[in-house]
This record gives sequence, structure tokens and C-alpha cells, in this order.
Amino acid sequence: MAPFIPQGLINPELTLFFALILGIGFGYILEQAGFSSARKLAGVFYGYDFVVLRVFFTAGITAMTGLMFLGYLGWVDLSLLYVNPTYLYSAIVGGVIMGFGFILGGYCPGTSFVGAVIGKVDAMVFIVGSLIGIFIFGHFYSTFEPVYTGNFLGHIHIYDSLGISKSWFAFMLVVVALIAFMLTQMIEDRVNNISTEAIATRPSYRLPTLLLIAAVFIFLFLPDERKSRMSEVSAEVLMEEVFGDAAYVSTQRVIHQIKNQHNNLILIDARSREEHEYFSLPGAVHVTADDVLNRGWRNLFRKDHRMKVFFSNGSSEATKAFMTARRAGYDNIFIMDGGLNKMFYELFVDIQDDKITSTNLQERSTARFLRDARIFFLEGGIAPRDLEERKVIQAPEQSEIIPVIGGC
Amino acid sequence: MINQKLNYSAALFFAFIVLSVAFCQLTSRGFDASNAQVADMLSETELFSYADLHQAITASKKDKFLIVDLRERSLFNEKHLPGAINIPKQELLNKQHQKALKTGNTILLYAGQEHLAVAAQTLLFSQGYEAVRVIPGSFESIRMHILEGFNPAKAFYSSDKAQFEFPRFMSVQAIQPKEGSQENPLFPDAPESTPIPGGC
Repeated sequence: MAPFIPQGLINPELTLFFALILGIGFGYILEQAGFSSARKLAGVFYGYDFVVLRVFFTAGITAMTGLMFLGYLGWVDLSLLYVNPTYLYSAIVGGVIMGFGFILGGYCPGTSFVGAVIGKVDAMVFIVGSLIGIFIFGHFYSTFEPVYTGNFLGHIHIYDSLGISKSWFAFMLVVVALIAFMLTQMIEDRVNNISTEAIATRPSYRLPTLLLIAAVFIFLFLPDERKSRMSEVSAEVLMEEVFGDAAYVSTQRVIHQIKNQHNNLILIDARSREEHEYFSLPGAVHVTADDVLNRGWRNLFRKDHRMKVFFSNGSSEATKAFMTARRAGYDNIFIMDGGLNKMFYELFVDIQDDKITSTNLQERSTARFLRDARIFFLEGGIAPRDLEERKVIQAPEQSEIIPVIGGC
Repeated sequence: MINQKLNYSAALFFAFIVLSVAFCQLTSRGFDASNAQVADMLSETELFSYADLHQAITASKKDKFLIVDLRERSLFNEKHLPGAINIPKQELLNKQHQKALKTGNTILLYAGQEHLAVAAQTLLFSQGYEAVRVIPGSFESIRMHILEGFNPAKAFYSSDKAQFEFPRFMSVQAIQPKEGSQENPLFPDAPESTPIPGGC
């Protein structure tokens, strides 16, 4: 599931390497589209060549529909994608300055490097000019700072600002883009005096236009993400497990694990962080129902094949976490029946030491087991079977999610 | 004139989207809310306290709620909350019961044990219900603190609250912290996230 770098699937230290590869690809495409020519770039302002508008609009709607679709499929986590912050004053002022620079110089910052690389002197001079501008900005930053940081609106999305859904915005943008393509073509033909006969020999774009609009139209009826996935467990199976006995592990089994310092169970504390930090069972890791679906815990639930036992004070929070994890398709997970309240009640309140001498073997073993456990937990008194240094119960580690700052 | 390549590409793109959406619908598990949405709803929905329940039963608010008893029929017939309907938990997803639940009122669930009502709430959230709350505790605690007279001391009772001062009872540590170390090795600090600067 993308994006890969924030989730550690690609080493973050390779970021610049991938930036280099993508930059080479981007520069190649710009050059292929003719964006090393100042005449071609400035054509959008004079009406004789709208290639800049067509290329960037095409790139925008292709990326937009692709991301929306991959987000729906669950292949990209859109919440991990970086959204540039919006500073309204600097966006407006910077846009005006860039517009002036573009029409005067015939380049924007990125295309100036494309031109310079193939030897265009005007592009090189443009770059020198932009470096001078950057120096002036840096040198007098304190003067520009109120404008530069003014009217900060946060990392907002345009569809939220417009009060419409993501799907509707995408549909409208595609329609606007296609209308813009038609209108700009008409303007180009008029400015360049293209004859009607020449226009008639052009390939028709009706079918691709209709298909693209139809594809985006489908998105209007799709939710942002799928409500149900193939990898999930069905509601009937969930119901059978949680209302039967299969989902539960007894408190005595957990006591046995702690007392003998076995590592067969992974204990997962589903309570709040405050409760977990105040007290938790030895070796327990803290994963609430909210955190279960966090990518960082995926290795714990998918790759670690030990039994995972959720516990809480009673069983309610543990049940919430269990239901969320089990529905996600994670196996070998259970709920500690009765929670810490039941465990402590059995160990320290419902003391049945008189049954140690019972004639019933099961009662005798249980009473003895609970007595030994009580002494162990109170005093740490009874040594484990292994008399050497106690084995350490390590809490499994959570993989970190790395936020990515930056973008175009 | 026809641009064959562009037409084929557009047709392929459209077909891919349609087939993918169709595949997703066919392989769907029949949930009406995603797992993430259900997890959010579980964390945002509070228990329906005994104070609220007492008000709902005694005041004129009964009509705003649909009280559902998830226990077996025999237990329901012995005693139940006034106005409650019986849907044994194993039959929760049956179609006839689903019709009974679609009244538009807030659904209040209770069972023999609190966590069973929580499980039922999770299942109903996943079927698209939004207004579902759990009455805390078991039916026994509801009977003691509501039916036999409202007990204000138990107004906010929940079986998932801690009933012991746990640290007083357990001194064993699985891992001994190193001398002088501030770090608790049982609960190591979460690794700091590494911001990656970048941009044009």
C-alpha cells in the first residue's frame, strides 16, 4: 500500500535518489513536450500555443483520477500524502510575480532548467535572475515575512473550501479541463488562421472525451474508500466467534504465561494510554481499538504467529479491539475473558486455599496454581523453572510511520 | 479521422475502472461501513449511562429509543426492561430482526455481559446503523440499580472500569530497568518520527 516512504517500505534515506530519478523523467517529458522553447511556453499568453495548459491540465486530471481510484481500492493511503500549506497572501503575490516573470522571460523556474540544459542562453540568464531574486528575498526576509506567512489557512483541500465532495470536484474539474481543451483549440485555430479543411482532417476526440467523463462519473457513486474488502472476515463469522467460546482465553492461561515467563502469548493492552502507563501486565504492548488498523502494527498482527490476547479492565475495550482486528482479517487473536478485574478477583479476592487439600484433582491443582501465582505476583517469591537469569519478555515494536514534508 | 491509439487507450482506461469497481462489489463482504469508520464510531460513542437510562424509562423519552435485549428468550421472558424487544444475539443479523431495528430511533443494547452488547454494537455499526449505544454492565446490574430503584451512586457504572488498585497487588517486573536509566524498558518511548524535508 502506497505511499511507500512514509510507511518505511522504501528507506527514507533513498528519498533524494528517487527524487533524482523522477526529476530526470520529468525533465525528459518537459523537453519532449517542447517546454525548452520560450516561444512555445509564452504562447499560452498570446493565444497561438496552449500546449502548457493542455499538458498540465492533462497531468493534473490523470493524477487526480488515478489517486482517487487507487484510494478507493485501498492501494494508496491518501491521508499520508503531503498537502502544501496555503498562505493566501504569498500565493497571490507570488502568482502575480511569476506571471510577470513567465511572460517577460518565457520560462517558469522548472522549464528554465530544461532550456539551460540544452544550451539556451536565455534560460541560463533566467536562472541567474531567479537566483538573484532568491538572494534578495533571503536577505530582506524580515521585510517580506508578514506577507510570506500572512493569512495561513492550513493544509486545506479545495473541495472542503468549496463545500463539495471530492468526487464532485473531480467530476467538475475533468469537465472544465475538457471544455478548456476545446476552447483553447478554437482560439489557437483562430489566432494561427488554420483553415477549416485542415481542422476537418484532425482526429476526433469525442470517444476518449466521453469515456473519460463516464469514468469520472462513476466516481460520483463510489465512496471515498471501499466499505468492505475481500480480505475481511464476514459479519457471520465475527458473530459466531465473539458470541461463542472461540474468541476467549482464560485469565489463568495469561497468569501461567506471566508466572513462568513464557513467550507464547502477546498481551495487548486495549485500555487508554493513562491506564496503560499507570499499570499494565508485564510485556504487554499498548494497542487500542483505534490503533489496531494503524500500519505500524501490521507486522505484529500479520507476521508474528503467536497468540495475540487483548485485555482491558473488563472485556469491553478488548472486545472493540478484537472486533476491529478480526474483521481486518488478522488471525490468532483473542480476548482475555473477564479482563484484569476478573484476574485480580480470582487471585486476590476469591481466595480458595482451602481447596488445596480437596480430593478433587482439578480443584486442588487450580487452587494450588492460584496460590502460587498470588505469591509470585505479590512478592516475586517463587522462582521460575529456569533458575538462571530471568528471561526478558520483550514488548513487540511498532513500526514507525514517517511523515513526509515537502512537495511541489 | 480516428485516432486509434488514443481511442484504445481511453477504452482500456474505462474498462479497467468498470471491471475493478465490479470486482470490488462482487467480492464485498456485505458491510455497509468500513472497518475504519466503525472504529471511529466505537471511539466516539459513549456508553448510555444508568442516569440517562433512568430518565429514558421514567420520563417521556421512551419513544425516542428502541431498547434491545440480546439475551436468550427464556431469560427475557423472566424479566426485562420495560419496552424492550428481544433479539437473541446469535440472531442479530437475521433479516426479520433487521427490519425491527430500522425504526429511526436510537438503539440501546444490553446483554448478560457488557462486552457482548459492545460486540453487538460493533456488528450493527458495520451494517450501517449509526445511532447505537450500549447500556453498561450486565442485566443483573441493570436490575439492581435501575429496576429495583435507581441508585445514583451507580449512575455512571461500567464493568470496564478498574475495580482494583492494580499496582498494589503486583510487584513483579518482567524486565528490570538499568541503573540510572530513565527509560522504562517495558514501555519504551515510541520512536520519533523522521520528517523528510523536501520540495521544489
